[in-house]
Amino acid sequence: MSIWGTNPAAEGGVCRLTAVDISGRHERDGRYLMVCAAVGVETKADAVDAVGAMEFDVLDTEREPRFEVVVDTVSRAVSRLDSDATVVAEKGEFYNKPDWIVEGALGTGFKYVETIGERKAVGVAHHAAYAVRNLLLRHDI
Amino acid sequence: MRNDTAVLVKRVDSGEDASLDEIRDLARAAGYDIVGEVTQSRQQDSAYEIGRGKVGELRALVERVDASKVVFDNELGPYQVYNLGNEIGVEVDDRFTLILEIFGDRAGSRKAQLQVELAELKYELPRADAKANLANRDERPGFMGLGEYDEKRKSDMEDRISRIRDELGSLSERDEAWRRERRRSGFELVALAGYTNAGKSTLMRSLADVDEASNHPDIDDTAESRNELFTTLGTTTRRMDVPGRNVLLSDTVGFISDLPHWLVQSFESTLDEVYLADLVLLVVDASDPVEEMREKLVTCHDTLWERVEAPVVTVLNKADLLDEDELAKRVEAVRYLAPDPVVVSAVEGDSLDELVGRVKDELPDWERETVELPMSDDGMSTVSWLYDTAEVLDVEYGERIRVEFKARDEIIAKARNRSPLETETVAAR
Repeated sequence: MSIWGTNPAAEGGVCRLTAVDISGRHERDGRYLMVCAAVGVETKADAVDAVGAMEFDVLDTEREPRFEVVVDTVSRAVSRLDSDATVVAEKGEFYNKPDWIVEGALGTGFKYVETIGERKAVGVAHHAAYAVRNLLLRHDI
Repeated sequence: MRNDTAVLVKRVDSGEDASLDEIRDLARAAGYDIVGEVTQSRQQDSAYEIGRGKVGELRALVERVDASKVVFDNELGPYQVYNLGNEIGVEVDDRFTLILEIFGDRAGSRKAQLQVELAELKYELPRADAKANLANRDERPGFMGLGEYDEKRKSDMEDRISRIRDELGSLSERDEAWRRERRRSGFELVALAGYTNAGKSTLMRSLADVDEASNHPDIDDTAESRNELFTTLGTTTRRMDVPGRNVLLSDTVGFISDLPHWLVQSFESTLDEVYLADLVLLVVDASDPVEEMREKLVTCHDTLWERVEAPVVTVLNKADLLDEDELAKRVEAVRYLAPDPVVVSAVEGDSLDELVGRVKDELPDWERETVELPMSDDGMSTVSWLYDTAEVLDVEYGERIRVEFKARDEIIAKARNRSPLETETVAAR
């Protein structure tokens, strides 16, 4: 079959991923209130196809977060999803460390965002983490 | 275009790609004759970007080849530009000032000129304090007009940015009104997007309906297609022949890697043509090496993701430059980023029919509608209008005119207003 013209993908090009984002990596009133959201998603290259379960992990600390702390927080949120899907995040989330280092630290498949769909999925996780953190701050939990 | 000579410089962190291919193309696009190249793999030097020893080598090279400018493929801070100009004795630019130089040369329309000026001001603004400080020392190469820098200069720049934003805002509103009017007239908007020099303008020429173009008021004929970066800076719109659909195809500025957010934002008004289209054709140069092709695709996704809502169809162009086996490898290599690509050659016109078919498939569904119109001049006029703006499936003439057609929502709403009787709508597909 010729490669010219259209080349439809198997299974419609849908990927199952866990999108993660952390809100609150900055210091406020002497503490860091970090909320990590892990969101099960199905993405296409150009869109989020479906959003499934969301899980969160909260870290309230006076110490500036380091790579290992971020990895632990993300790991806890991801483990609650009970999914073996590849974790996807923005590059800054893990201090721009190479993806193979992050993958080793998390102990699960990992990649940085590439497609429009992945970036939008991390955007969903960002909104979720941001909203939960605001809720915690508003109610002083 | 200038006829100056330039030496290219690039510093990379250990293990990174030190290729000068892209900055070389950019410098040539800006009209520079490249007379020397220097690369260095090391950590960034805060004062000079490259190591002090390398600065000495660079100075010697510049003197030997009599270069008039040094262009870094890195972002330089104002103190680095000052220090380098001081040491080397010629003007020093970075990647972004070079891009702005090309944009400045090619900005033809008022909108393009305003966007370039906005980008230049946004580049300069954070540097204004440093330059004012340096101006108190003395003027150095690479700091043209440094003496003008003072505190008032910064507030003047902020005022000018505000005025440009206002004017661009007005132009964007005008463009949005045009888009609305085109949609009301039954047109659907397809935009070409992609990395610079992917062949968008050539594809535009191949897909555009030339006969129709000459008759349409929204269409101009400024699309260029040369093997250079940033040949298209404004927006060109032409009618595209898609059976059963009225499609306007737009070609606009190409993307490039590592552009800072402020620079992309400066061209937001032009990029709206892509962001607000009904369908985006993301054009990729399939003849690039696989890794380069993948990186360019990632850059395109990065530029598009925040605002694009329309479906994106990836078009692997320049396929005539590869044999079938090599093409198949490329398709597989970028499958994750482009799961369902269309492989074409715009130059040879190969597989363009498949691309047109795909455009038709991916555009938003049209609804099927039946209207009954009075047998009168007004009724006949509406039938004629439906032939122009919709896909007419059947017309029966009796005491009334019964028209069955498929069209987008806006056209159906208009047709209902012209029909005194009840209408029925079913999904077209």
